[in-house]
Amino acid sequence: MKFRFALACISLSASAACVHAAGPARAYPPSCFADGLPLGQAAKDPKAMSLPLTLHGDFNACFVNPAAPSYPVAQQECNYAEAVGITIARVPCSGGKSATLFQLTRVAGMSGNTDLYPTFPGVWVQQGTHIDWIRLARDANTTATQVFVNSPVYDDSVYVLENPIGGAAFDYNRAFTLTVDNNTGRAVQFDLGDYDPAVYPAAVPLPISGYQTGAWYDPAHGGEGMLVEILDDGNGTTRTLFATWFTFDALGAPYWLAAQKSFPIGATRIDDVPVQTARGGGFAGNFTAVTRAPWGTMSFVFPDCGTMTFSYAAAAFLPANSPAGSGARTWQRLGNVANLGCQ
Amino acid sequence: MSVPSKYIVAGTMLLASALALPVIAADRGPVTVDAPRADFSSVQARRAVLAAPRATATSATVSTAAVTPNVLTTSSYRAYPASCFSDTLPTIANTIQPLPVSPSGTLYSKTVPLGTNSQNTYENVMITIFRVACSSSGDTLSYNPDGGYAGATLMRIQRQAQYEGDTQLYPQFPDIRIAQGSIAFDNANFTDYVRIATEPNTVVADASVGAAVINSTTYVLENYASPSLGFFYFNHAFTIRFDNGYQNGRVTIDVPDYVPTQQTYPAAFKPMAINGYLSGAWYDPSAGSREGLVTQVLDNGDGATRTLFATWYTYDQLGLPFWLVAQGSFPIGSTQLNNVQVLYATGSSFAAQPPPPSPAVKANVWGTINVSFSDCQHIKFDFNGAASAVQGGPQGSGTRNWTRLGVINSLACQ
Repeated sequence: MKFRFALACISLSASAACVHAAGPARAYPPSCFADGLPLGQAAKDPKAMSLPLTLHGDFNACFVNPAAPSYPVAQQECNYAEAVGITIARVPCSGGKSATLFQLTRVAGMSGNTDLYPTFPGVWVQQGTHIDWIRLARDANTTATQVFVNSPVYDDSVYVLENPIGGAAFDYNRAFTLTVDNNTGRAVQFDLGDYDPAVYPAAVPLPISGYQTGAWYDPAHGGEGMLVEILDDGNGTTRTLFATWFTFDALGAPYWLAAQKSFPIGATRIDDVPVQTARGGGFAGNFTAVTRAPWGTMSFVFPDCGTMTFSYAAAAFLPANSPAGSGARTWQRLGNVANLGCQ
Repeated sequence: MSVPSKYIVAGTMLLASALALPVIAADRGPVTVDAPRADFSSVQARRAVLAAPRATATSATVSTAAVTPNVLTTSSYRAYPASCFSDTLPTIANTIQPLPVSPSGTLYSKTVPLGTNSQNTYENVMITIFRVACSSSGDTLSYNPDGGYAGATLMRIQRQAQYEGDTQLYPQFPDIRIAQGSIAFDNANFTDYVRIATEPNTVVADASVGAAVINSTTYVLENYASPSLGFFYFNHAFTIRFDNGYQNGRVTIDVPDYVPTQQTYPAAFKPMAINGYLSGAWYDPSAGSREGLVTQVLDNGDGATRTLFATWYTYDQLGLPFWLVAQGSFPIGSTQLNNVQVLYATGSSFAAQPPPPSPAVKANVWGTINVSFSDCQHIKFDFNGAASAVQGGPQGSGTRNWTRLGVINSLACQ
């Protein structure tokens, strides 16, 4: 067996190696909403489209018993209609992919009004000859959650386009037509072209989140790698990068370096990460005193889910045969962490 | 309406209660209407607003809200460990049952008459509250303040077999409330409202009162992400109430504390099924974080197996840094990995710097390792091997229990 750090990839077929589809019915990369489903994303989308559509009120209110105290309000709601704004926007994700958001904006001042409110329209997509109702959800990365037609819409709200349950999947990165039907004889249509990542420069490099956790290596240079973990600091403002570099000393013997630094949530690169090594330890805890020694610094950036670019600079005076020097490298991801598929 | 005779002869009190529940004799039929059905629209409106913490947003230009799904992965609003359902999440296309369809453990069930889409009729369904065992590391967490056993609490609405899938006449999701401790039913602050979702680890998803229940469905009980709402400790005793809106149309189920035993919840006493949540850095707290094991559990993409990839950063006999690497594929669901081969590499260079490795990089067999995880915070491993190809390489055998270092963002194992 030819040894590489990338053992896991070798055992897989070439096409499947290191690329895990977290679900064939997925509509967008699971890592796309690592920091939440953003309301107001349309403002960042240069190709966002908005159209007004009058949605009717709640038909269920028409059937409230006249004896009920809520009857007068229910009668108003039964006859209610509201011209909401429908906005379709794409959000850039890793790997040249995108997610598509459906945003519903109520008339100014009405968001949160639970007496008078519109109800959710029917939404369907046509792509080529494929036509189907689609699933819309307010949580990201769901598989069954959806908002139902005619359900109340009390607030301004944003939904992510998902594939229909039990139906064939759409590719929302390709051109498609989305129709919003108010179920009372009126509909608006949005014609989306193919998704062009070049129009969304914010996608590169990626904000550094847990999804960058992984094993990274150079396919051309077997036997060496880095295990990176992005940890929560628990304070809501920072995270910590913890990386262990499995490498060699000047004699070709195994040697490791460890890098760790806290960084603000949302950062797209981490610079001046202190790198340490240690001496005087033993195997499996059989030691008492260890001397930690600074080795140098590194910086990290992740252009996409499958790529890590880093630079390193060793300190000037290190023990004989220590890893040394400076440079920059671009490595690949070994495999996707289960339950945390970065795509 | 027909009432079984045994209720009629049982005395005044029983007779009254039997008459008050006009659904005992049949599985479907008309309800006795003495008063108009409750108008649930205000209940549903309030729940919908609760479920959407961005309700205060008034325009499309509002920036990312304070409460986002990612933050909530480890937030104080959680009801159970995020890692609890990692192996029941669907792995095939278009699965619509992301929660267990068969209740397990101790079951708390009652027949509940739900209103239907046809006015003044009901359909009896079986509602079962049950729990599934989650990692129980003893940590005190927002949903587990005493560090006791942690489970997730599920609710199964089971239609009768002959009505399963009937889309013409179907029951409607009831108004569900919970009473626990100081939180009473129908209190003025609406803190008895409970969020109910059809898949785990959501933040805003909620079932609507009055929604059609066409197919039997399993739900997970959740808390609303709102500081002004009630917070339920679902591992503790509570009473859950189902209300179909008609007079005397309420049914309650008392659910006691979650106290697993080997017989009722065997999974609570077994090592965890090994999944991505068990990726992490592990160390011996008594030795400081000067030596460690980094594990990453990778998807193989075949839906059947995963790969454990682990590196052990340690020292050789001279006290110099040395590392070992282990890798093994295993079936999804495995709780113990045995005889995973451990290797060490020699003959390469730092950062691929020249001169090129000479001789070429070589993988040397060091030995084996067995790995299991009793809970999210602890790894147990047995090791046995020697690095005989290098002078003074690490060697030996033994067993270690190490502790997790840190929580991976978006993958909080609890």
